[in-house]
Amino acid sequence: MMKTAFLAFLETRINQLLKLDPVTAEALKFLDGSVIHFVCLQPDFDCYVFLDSLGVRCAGWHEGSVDATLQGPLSRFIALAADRTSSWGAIKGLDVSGDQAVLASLESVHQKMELDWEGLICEQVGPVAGHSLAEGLRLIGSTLSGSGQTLSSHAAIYLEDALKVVPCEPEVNAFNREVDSLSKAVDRLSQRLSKS
Amino acid sequence: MTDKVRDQDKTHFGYKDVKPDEKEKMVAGVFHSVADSYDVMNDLMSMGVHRLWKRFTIELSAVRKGHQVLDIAGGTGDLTKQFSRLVGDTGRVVLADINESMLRVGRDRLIDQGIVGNVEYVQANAECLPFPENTFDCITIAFGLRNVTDKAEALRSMCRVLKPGGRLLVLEFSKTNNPLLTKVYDTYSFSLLPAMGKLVAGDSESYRYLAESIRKHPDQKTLEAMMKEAGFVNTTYHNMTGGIVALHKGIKP
Ligand SMILES: C[S@@+](CC[C@H](N)C(=O)[O-])C[C@H]1O[C@@H](n2cnc3c(N)ncnc32)[C@H](O)[C@@H]1O
Repeated sequence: MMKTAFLAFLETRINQLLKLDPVTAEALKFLDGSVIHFVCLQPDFDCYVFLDSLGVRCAGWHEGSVDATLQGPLSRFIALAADRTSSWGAIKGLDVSGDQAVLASLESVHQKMELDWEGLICEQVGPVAGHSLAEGLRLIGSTLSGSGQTLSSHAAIYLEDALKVVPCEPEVNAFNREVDSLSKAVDRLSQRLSKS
Repeated sequence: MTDKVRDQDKTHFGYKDVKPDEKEKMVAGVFHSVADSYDVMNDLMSMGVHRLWKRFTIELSAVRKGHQVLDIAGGTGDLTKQFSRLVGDTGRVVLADINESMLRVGRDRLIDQGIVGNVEYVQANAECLPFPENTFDCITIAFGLRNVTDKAEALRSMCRVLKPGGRLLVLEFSKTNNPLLTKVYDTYSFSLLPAMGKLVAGDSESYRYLAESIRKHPDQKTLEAMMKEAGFVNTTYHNMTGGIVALHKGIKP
């Protein structure tokens, strides 16, 4: 269940970010129907990413064929995320296999991605919560790359903390509405005071 | 084995013994009553976890483009919505339910969300599915089987309309074997749940029935045996949330 929860969270976040990067979203449309298998060897964790016109879908279970597989320790996936210029073959310790056309498209999408994900998270949820979330993701990355602990225990702690600081959309909207009506009330009051 | 008790003319409605045709009417009454507030209550009752149970069901379904899927007892269409995306333009999802109020809420909700084109709505009883033999690649029944009067008949009917090699997924409340969890869960479902039902939906009786029907539902092993008896092979089940919910899978040979 923990893995399902983690993947649900990941999927929501990725799709939110894709909405803010129409160039990447458009490029991914060419990969409609592709299935990418990410296999993390250290710690042990794998997931399938399905690409379609509506965005991405992450699953922990898949019985059909896959179009591409990326396999390696977590530190290699982090290196990949940070490196937008090298070709994937140049990232030592990362095993990339599958349909060459799909891989080439993925690689090009990755290199052209405009996403400043940290900045965008901050924009979405406010600087404090946004940085905490980004910090959380980095923390997961760094602790996992050095330890043999299971992802689920880290994910549990992370989700618990992240969910505490990241308000959900209705909360943010409700808060904004309250601030709006409060500021209108203050405006009205100060107008009345200035008239009297 | 069916859920009929000793007397062949009786079945369960929660903890009450009733005549089979009475059960159908009483279950209908429950779902007519809860239809409008069903989605809110579902989130409240499970604290949102039902979304994860359903998500896992989708993962295990192996549904892909072009598939024919039946979501029986589909209610307000949570699974149908996901399947519609997976089967694409070339596939088809049938959202079927015995209850027209639930079906109406489901249809309106899906249409409002722009899910049109590959979804059909059929009012049907799981015990006698109105589809030709060997029609579907996958059938799901989520939190529906415990409300069906003759479960064995329903399982046979599902096996009939599945294609050979097609799979049935039954997502249903089940039995935990952790005594502490069982106690917490009992307190929750017999005290808190009807109270929430009264508060949110103005109806505590329906939610009391839901809690009782969960207790009367066969446990994991019994349901697996029933699936085998109905003709399914390679049956397995996955416990979720400590066995509060189980997902059973069976393949039509
Ligand atoms: C608890 S709801 C579940 C709805 C939905 N599958 C979900 O998971 O949210 C149970 C549904 O089963 C339906 N149902 C009860 N008996 C049925 C039967 N014999 N055949 C088909 N549907 C039935 C009810 O009308 C109701 O919509």
